[in-house]
Amino acid sequence: MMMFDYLANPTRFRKITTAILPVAVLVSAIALAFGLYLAFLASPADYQQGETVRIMYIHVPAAWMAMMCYLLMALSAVFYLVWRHPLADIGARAMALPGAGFALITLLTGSFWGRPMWGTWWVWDARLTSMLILFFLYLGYMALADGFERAERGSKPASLLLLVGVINLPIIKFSVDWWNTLHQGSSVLRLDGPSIDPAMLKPLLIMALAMLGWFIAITILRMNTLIMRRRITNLESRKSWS
Amino acid sequence: MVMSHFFTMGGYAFYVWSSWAIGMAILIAITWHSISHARITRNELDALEHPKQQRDSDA
Repeated sequence: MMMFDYLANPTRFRKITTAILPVAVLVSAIALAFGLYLAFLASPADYQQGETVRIMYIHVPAAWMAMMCYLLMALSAVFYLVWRHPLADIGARAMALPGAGFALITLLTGSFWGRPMWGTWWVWDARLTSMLILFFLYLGYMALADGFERAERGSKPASLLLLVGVINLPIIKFSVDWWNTLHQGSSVLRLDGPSIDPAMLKPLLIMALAMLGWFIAITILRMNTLIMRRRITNLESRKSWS
Repeated sequence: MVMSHFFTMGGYAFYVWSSWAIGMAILIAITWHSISHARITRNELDALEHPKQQRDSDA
């Protein structure tokens, strides 16, 4: 909360984020190079799934990011609805497109993995359907947030949608335990520790780091764009009154 | 991993490489979209904040 107040000053926000952005880009680039090396050259094929297991190294980190991004947006929505911080609203708006991108990557790469391993591109089971709903929540949020002449008018309904949609996150996470599904169960975030082989866990985590760096950089860039956009709106309305 | 095996992905080349190509394409598209929007908005704001300089530089 304190940190949020501190960051809520636009000038300070600009200053801090301009310092973070190049670091995030650098971390992302290095992690991507290393992650690609691990994913394709330094990790073994799966004993059951063969080389298709390499799809996992983009599919799973993207799924993590899609869920984390939604959670961050929902938290921003709380900050916006309770404390009326415009920067919280701008943050959620900035994260929506990269979040939707991660959800789409998860769905598409999952399809390309399911086809050779399950024999189908798609099945309406709990895991896949709840992930599709997450993607639609992102699209719905963007449509609501940007659906008004004055951008701020969409903020409240869009934030409420985010809060309602949070219920979907535990459903995605636990869908593989609660329902029968083709989708394999968790092998990383388990109560009894990761069951996945370290040689496969490492590329997963490094690729997740690459995506996280990218996500932070893109969010900062988009937030600054939205701040500039609001300034333009203010300047123009002032002009039309004078 | 042998070079030819790298490209064929043990017979799963289509699925593995399509996945990565689609994923990277989506990330690149969002990056490009965000950068171009930032540029357009910055120019628009500059023109509003410094109308005179803008006209000078246009001439």
